[in-house]
Amino acid sequence: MSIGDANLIEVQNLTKIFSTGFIMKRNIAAVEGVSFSLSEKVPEILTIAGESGSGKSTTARLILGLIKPTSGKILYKGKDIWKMSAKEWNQYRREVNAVFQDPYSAFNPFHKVEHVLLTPIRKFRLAESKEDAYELASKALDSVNLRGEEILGRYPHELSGGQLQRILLARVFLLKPKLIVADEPVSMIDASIRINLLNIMLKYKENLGVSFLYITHDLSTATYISSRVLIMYLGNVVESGPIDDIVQNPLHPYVQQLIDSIPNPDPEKRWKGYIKLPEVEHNLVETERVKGCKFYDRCPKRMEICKKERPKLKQVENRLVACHLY
Amino acid sequence: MAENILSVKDLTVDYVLTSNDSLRAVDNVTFEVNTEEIFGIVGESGSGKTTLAKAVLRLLEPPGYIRSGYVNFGGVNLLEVPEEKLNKIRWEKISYIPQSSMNALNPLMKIKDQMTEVMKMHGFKGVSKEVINRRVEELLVSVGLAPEVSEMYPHELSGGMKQRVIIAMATIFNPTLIVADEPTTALDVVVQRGILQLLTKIKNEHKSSIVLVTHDIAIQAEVADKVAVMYAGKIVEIGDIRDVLKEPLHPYTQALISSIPSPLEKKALYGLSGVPPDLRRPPSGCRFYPRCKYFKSGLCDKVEPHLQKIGDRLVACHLYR
Repeated sequence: MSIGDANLIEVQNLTKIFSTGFIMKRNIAAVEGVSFSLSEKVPEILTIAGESGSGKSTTARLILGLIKPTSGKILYKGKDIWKMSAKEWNQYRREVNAVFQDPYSAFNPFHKVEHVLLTPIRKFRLAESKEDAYELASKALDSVNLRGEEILGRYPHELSGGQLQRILLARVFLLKPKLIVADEPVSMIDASIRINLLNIMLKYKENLGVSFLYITHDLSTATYISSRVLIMYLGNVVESGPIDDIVQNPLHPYVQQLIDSIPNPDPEKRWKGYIKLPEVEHNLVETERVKGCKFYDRCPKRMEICKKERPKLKQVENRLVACHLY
Repeated sequence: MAENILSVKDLTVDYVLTSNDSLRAVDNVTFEVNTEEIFGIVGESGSGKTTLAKAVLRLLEPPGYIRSGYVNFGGVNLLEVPEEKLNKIRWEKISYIPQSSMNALNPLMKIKDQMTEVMKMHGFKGVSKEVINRRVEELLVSVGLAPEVSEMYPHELSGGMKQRVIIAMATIFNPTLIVADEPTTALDVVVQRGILQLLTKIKNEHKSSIVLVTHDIAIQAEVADKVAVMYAGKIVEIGDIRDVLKEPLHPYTQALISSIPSPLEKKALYGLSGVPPDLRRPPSGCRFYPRCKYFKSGLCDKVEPHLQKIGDRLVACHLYR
């Protein structure tokens, strides 16, 4: 699907190892050998899904350049982001933007909310005068279905989480980015208005050609907005491909369990069978010592080879799966 | 007919902000929980569901005050029993699993010691160590943990394991009612399913009841028998979970249900516009009218709708008169 030189972003074998412990140093691979790419020509919403500790947020922070990879590369339009000149880096930061989980913590409680809109306008010299700046801010608010007169001049505590998150999306809109890294952007937003934010993301993609990296634990919202998914488990991608096919017919035993456990709002289709949680679970550090598959302890289909050898991603049908079953 | 184990009547809770400003977080709430039933309370942030759960157990702290109401549990009004008796009822008859309680385990104490402490405070005094240890292990096994977990410290446990320890503690005395507030919120979906199925199993084995508070209506759909939907401090609809999800009657319930994406059927969805009201100055009449698509001027903004029976359902909406 991706053509070598036409990639907006290309992630090659990305690995991030954190060291932990005071006297006994231990290494934890938060992200291990992750590769994917997004085309520059066709905007796309790509989901990285996983549970807590899967490395999805670390991947997001690596792409935003907030932390440096231990090995592997992130290429933006063919250029390694850690080898960019100051000017290129500035451009990158303008074109690759972020929206995070907690809208409340992104605002300074002592500043009026427009501060988050006026600052980038000033920094990137998007407006000539103060009036222009306010007009631009109002326009940005329009794009997220907020009315300028209701929002401008208010303080963060006067607005709801959903409104604040939309203001942050409006800020991103100002900069006309190419890629938005959205890390759990709706998980703190009430269910009845969550869908509005997802619709704004879809609109940005369709009308403005913005691509998204949607980081989430929630496959229901992911299926709603994206076409392709990478599912991570303890630092590794275990299955990736078209999201609809994966949701309908998951191949990796972990992904099967995951999809089977999503609560379904239809009481006629309740979970079938009990999930037995492990009696004792290895913590992350211990899992690190595992030579074989990291899912071995919880896997209902484990085999002898799974203990010895870590499975590599293989092409199975229209997707990639890391499991010895295939 | 199943008999009711908990009956809450006209419960009203205020948070006092200043000497002349307060907000009504729970307003005139009435509901009944039957034996062997999972009663779900669903609502969004700020709807009053946690305040309601705490008020029922009389665990509210200032500035929250119960203004009026009646909570009948086993023939006594929990809002009036003396503190000592109430302390006995809590843990032994009713257990409460508060939000993010798994982070409330003492990091310096072994699991065994934390469980023993609760047992000693409630009538296990003078019981030999062996008996207590055996009970601790029995409880851990009942929630699917290895007996060795009793010798571990909280930091050695995963989130799912900690939450199971909390459930084991909540079931020490086989209570007849468990009130669980967002018991799976920070957990992964697979672990979430395991925990909810465990709670259901415990309920079936002990023939007890559960009040399950969560914002996630899909979770209620998986495990609850009945559900009460809260909006801005009021219950707007109560009914059998199957009926409510199949045919929601209150416009807010309708909006809530129609805004959940399902991974298996893709279709365009639309959420609610607007925001919940400021409870310091709630709108007159129906609290949902500013966001309601069936709003009737002169009625909804003037007259407050009360819960009324529509078939097997209770709904507070002027559409049904």
